[in-house]
Amino acid sequence: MKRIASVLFLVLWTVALCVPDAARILAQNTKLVRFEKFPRKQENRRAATRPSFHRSSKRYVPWRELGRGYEAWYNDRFPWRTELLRFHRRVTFERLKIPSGRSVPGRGDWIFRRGGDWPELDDYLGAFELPPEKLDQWVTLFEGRREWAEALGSVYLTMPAPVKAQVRWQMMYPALQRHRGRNVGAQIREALEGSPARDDVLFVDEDFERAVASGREVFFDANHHPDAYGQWLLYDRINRRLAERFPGRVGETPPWFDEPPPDVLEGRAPGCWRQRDGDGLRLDVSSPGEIEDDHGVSVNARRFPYCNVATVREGGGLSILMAHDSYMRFTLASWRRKIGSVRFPFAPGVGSVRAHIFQRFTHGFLENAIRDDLPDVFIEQFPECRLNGTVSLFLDPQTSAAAAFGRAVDPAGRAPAAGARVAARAVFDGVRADPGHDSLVAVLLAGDRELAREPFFPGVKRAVFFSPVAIPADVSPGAGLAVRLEDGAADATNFVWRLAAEGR
Amino acid sequence: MVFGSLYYLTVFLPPVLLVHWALQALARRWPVAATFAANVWLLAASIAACVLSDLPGLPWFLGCAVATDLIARAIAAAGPRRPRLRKTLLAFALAGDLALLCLFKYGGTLSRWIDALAGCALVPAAELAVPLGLSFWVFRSMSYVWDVARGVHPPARTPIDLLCYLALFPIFVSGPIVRWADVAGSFRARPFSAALAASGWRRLLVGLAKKILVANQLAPMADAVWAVAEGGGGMSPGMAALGVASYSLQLYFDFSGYSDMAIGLGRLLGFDFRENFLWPYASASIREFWRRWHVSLSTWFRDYLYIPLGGSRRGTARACLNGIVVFTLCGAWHGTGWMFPLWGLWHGLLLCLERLFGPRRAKGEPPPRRSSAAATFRFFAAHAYAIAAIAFGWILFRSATPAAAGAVLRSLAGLAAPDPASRALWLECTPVFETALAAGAALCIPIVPALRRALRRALPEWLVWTAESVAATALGAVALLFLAAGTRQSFLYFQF
Repeated sequence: MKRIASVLFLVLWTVALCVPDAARILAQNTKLVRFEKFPRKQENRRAATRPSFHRSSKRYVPWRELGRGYEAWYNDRFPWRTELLRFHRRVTFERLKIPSGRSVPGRGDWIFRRGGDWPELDDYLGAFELPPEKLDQWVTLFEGRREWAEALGSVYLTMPAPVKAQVRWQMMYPALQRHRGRNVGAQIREALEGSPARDDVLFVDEDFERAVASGREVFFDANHHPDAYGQWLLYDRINRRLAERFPGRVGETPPWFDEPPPDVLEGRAPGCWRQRDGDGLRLDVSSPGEIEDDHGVSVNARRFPYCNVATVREGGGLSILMAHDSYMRFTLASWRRKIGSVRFPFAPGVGSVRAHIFQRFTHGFLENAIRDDLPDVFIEQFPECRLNGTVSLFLDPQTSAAAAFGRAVDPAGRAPAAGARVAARAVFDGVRADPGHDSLVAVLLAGDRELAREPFFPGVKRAVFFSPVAIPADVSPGAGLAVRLEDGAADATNFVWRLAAEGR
Repeated sequence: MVFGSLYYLTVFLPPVLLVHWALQALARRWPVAATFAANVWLLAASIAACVLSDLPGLPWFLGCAVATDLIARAIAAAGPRRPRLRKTLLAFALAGDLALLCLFKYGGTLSRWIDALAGCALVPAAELAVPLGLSFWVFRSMSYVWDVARGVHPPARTPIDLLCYLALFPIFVSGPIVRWADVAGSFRARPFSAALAASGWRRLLVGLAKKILVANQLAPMADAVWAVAEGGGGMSPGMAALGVASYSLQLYFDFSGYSDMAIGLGRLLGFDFRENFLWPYASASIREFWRRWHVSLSTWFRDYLYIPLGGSRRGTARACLNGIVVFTLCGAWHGTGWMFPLWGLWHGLLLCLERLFGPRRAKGEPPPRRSSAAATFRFFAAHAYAIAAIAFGWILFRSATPAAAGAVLRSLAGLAAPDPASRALWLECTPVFETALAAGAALCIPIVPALRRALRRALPEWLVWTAESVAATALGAVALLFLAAGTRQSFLYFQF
């Protein structure tokens, strides 16, 4: 009996390991066996090619790498590989909840992300504790941007949008839920307490949590984007702040309007269906294209390469220049994208929107963007987990100087005393450069003594900030501060100086 | 190309086995010719595996193997009447083997040291790619020549046999370090046995499952803990303990899984290799641990270094010194860097302390009966000591620098302030990790043999055998599914 069992077992496994090659030979020469093609889209790569000895061949592989090359080629053509991968995913990822790469499965079809460029779970666990200097950099950035925009008569709003793990933590597996830490957003919120920029940095976590508590879903389960309702909440938060900053000019957010009808939710409506694409059941997100109205800036693609949405409403209103990511790409989440135009949930009173997707504002970008057209509002949206990223990329000397000016105090007299540290701001209207010059220079003077120089560009309106500088001892007492333009001229100049705050 | 790869299992292995079994069947009629043909076939398959895995290393291996054969034959030809010539030839062979080992493993380090001392680039950087399995085939070659010189066995009948032994693909990459004396008979005749081959398949599948279903599932936690430690960060004592436990189990299941696969493949080809792991985590002392862990390596060092140095024949002090030297070198064999010799030194020191202060038993004396409470306490205390000492050793072994080891140890002791980054370690505590950890902890002690014994007492043997085969099939199928999905990781011992 044992001998029979041995032979059976031996035959079983020997045959089992011969089956793939036999199947491959059959598939190549007959139509008896068929395999699915290599899933190039899902793996985001081409299948490995068979290595070649010939140097002239595109498939040439050095002789040292030949074994590895053959193995890679074979592995990508392993019979039933695609089917096995799919089965493996269902078993391990969906049933056993084994993380795959940076994707961490949660309850049901929920997926969260870790590490890399989207460390939402790491942030949930409190893995990022920002040092005081980095927190100060963030605050400086927010204050600097606010001060710069205020000088131009605009408003600068920043929205670190909540990520899925912060709001839908109930859908993680229990071991993770229990270990919630202090995330980066909370640290920055704390650091912003008492800062004039606090109210212009829009945290939306509480709105999202309220929505979830009331039974509304705000995120897709299988991808990391807010769903249409979640995105509507982001717009609503912006609208509410605009209404505060521009009383009487901005109305209320249009009531929630993008609820898919039951036949869409159930997959019965033509054009909108639920699809299983490996991420679980969800609304199909293949968009036929962004909604793009006519707008001057979208014509000049070289200056604004990522401008994907530009709308102009009849009747005018506030103009908005926005940098955002897919979190506010309403076309991505709206069920209507399949059947017609998508309406953006901006409040009445918003006249034109120029939105740059996958863009973060640098000072250079902003200066370029306002050359001909000064918006009423700047909005910058990015996910909260980006707050762990590099601040210095956006914190240029002008923004730091603007923040320092904002923190400075108004002087008591008309002229600063020798040794006093002063921060200064000059706002120019209708700035023109002299022929042969691309840029101008603003020179800060104490009497006839030059204290600092700041180059800047022509435009309808410019704000130039001078970093805090100490008044030299040899400046004649009572000499006032002034600003002088070189290489160009301005229609009007508004110059203000203050005494720099101690220690900042 | 490694054991746990689809290419190996489905392209390389089936034709090799089928042809080999056919030749084994022919050996019943033409024993000499068919066995010779089977050896040639095995050699060809082993060389092909080497070409596919590490073509640049092949000339080094072939050079070493041919030199070993020539020198061993010259030693045997010199006979007992010319001991000086035998010794000279032996010394030449051993020096050549060690030089090869040192060149590849320590060449880069040595050249950097010389350059640092000289203050300029005196020696060209010798960062050579280490030939695959170098440490293992060099040790097999050394033991072969040494045993021929000592008269333990004569040289192989033909160079094919020796080349085949040294290149044998199941043991080429990561051992076990099989001795020629143990397999010489199989090169003369190895009749096909369905029972042996079937048990080989089972062992292969179990090894694959150990590697893929346990070791690979524990690896992310161990890697994450050491990544934090190598960044200089601390973590909570519980997390550090989890990391150390994960690594200890990962290493055992990884390497013993590999050894199981090698033993299984050997059985499929008609060889019966000795066990390399005998439940090492069931040890009650470090001395016992080394009788159970990587047995082929520890016995190699015992027979070819410890005993020639004098072993324990020259008093306790000399035995301690010998032990320390042997284990420090054993650590150095595992890799470059200071941490490996330090790990070896740790074990050498513990063995020395056990020799000085441990319980003494005369040879053949049975272990004391564990009837009293005191004896039970001693039993558990001894195991706890052994596990703690082994785990401490693994911290040294896994850490790239003393600072990283220090960070893990400080965290374990609760002396390190937890780094915020260490909170992300909770991400590794997935349900599957917890299952693998529990399974690993349960299966690293001899529960399975006990279960098997109990089943054999209760059921007919064929039924137990069938049940085991069904279990192995299920485990193997799941492991192959994981393999097909590309979750394979290279075996840890490849780097040595």
